[in-house]
Amino acid sequence: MRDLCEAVDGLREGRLQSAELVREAIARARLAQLRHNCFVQIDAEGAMAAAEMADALLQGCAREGVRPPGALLGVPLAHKDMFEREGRPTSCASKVREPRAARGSATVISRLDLAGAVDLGTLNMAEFALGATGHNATMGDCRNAWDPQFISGGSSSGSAVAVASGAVFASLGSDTGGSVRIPASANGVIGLKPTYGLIPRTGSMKLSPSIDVIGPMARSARDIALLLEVLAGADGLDACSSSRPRPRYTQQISRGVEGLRIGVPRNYFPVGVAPSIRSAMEASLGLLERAGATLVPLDVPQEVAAMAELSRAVVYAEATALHAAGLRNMGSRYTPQVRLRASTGLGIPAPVYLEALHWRLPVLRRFVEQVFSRCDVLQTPTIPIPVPRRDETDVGAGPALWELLAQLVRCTAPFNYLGLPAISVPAGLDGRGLPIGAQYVARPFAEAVLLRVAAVQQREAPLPLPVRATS
Amino acid sequence: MSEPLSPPALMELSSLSGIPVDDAAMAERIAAGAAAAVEAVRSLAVAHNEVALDQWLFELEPSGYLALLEQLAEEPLVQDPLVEDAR
Repeated sequence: MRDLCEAVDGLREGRLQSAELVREAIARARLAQLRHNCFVQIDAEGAMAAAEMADALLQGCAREGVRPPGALLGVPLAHKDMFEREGRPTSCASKVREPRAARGSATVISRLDLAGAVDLGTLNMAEFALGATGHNATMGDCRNAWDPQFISGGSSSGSAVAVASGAVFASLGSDTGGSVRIPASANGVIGLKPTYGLIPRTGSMKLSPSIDVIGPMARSARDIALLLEVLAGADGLDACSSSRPRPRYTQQISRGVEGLRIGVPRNYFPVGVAPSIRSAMEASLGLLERAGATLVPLDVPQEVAAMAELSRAVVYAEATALHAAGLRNMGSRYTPQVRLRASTGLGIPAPVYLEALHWRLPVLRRFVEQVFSRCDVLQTPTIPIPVPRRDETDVGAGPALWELLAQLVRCTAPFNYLGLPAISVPAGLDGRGLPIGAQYVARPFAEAVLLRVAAVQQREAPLPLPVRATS
Repeated sequence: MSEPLSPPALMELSSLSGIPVDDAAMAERIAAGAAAAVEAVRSLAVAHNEVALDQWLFELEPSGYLALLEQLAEEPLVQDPLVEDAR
């Protein structure tokens, strides 16, 4: 099965049954769990019951000759374990809190349920989303779908690995510094960080409310478009969600890239990029140019170099405030590394935090006016270095660890500070057979343009699923 | 370049806030982790010191961030009614 859209079509046309798809998904999920530790929980029984109901509904609609309700009816999905589902505890991949059944469901979960998706379980992540590598001393590390010696990336580690390993067609993660795009890149799937405010976050775990976004991961750009249509739009509960009208992403996606201007940064982003990644970026630009796009070399505002740190000033301060009660009352239950990260806001003075929030407005305006007056989409690597091994990025790895961690978020975190939409698209494999991701960034709410670019790149240079994960 | 907070200063903040820090080693790591972020904010302020106090007092408003993103979006759209059908 190629992607989610193909599964949806097969179910609607009666060529597939949800029970059959879900049974296969459970088998793949169990295999992926053994090899990659990407699940927190696999709900085989609940998923099979939901699949049988979906099949009954699909058959009823076929008999009556009516269109089945819900864009995702009968399709198995699973998500980062940070979205509340009524009646189920949300672990946040941590043992700090006592398990407590949620009283309601997150808006994104309700919307997926309404669209008919079948819930296969919950996925591993960095504890409280505090980590970019996929390490988790509580739940066990989530391991790369292409080679378990390497990091999965994080914090939405299980989401990317479950999609790449074929266990689910798509998954939700969250992105505060690159947590959707980094694992998407490391595992060879597409991951979208939408514009801040496009997808409401009601009922999802907070890390840094001024910066957090929820984003989908899938195997194809058209899958992301379909998911975005289901997920986007204000819910009246998240005060930071936008009511701005949205395009029909699934229709926009086939428009190609002819006439689009692709910005190629000359400063900041190319610095320190590994040769294999640089070659992959150039190859991606080449195929977009052949498809009709124009390449525009440009300088981005110098202050982009500070943006990852500006973002951290906000994230550290807000994360420490959110975890203050936990740190005071049950600090010993946090894993040491996560406790340290959750406490780092102690070192951010309140005026500095507020200054970082204030600066975001003029910095955003300057960036958009300077960059997106010259191009429609900006290309950078998602991760500028080859995917590191797990032992290189573990707690005991020594001082080089901090530099590696900074490199992981170097190209992603600036766009969290700015709130701009960014997508990671597979851009080939490196010499070790591990995926490389190209990141495309656009002006606010221009997700449709990013999806057009992603669709062309995927059409011209498709990346298969990892052989080791699926065999 | 500003200096990171010293471990004793961090320990003092820990004591004031009630957020525990085990020892000087943990305090040092927290201070080191926060230092680059604090420095980035300071550097930006120094580089743009022409920004007038008036702008800070009357114009810049963090809660206007979402509105600014909407304002910087390309074209105003008319909601496609089919979008709601997707659900």
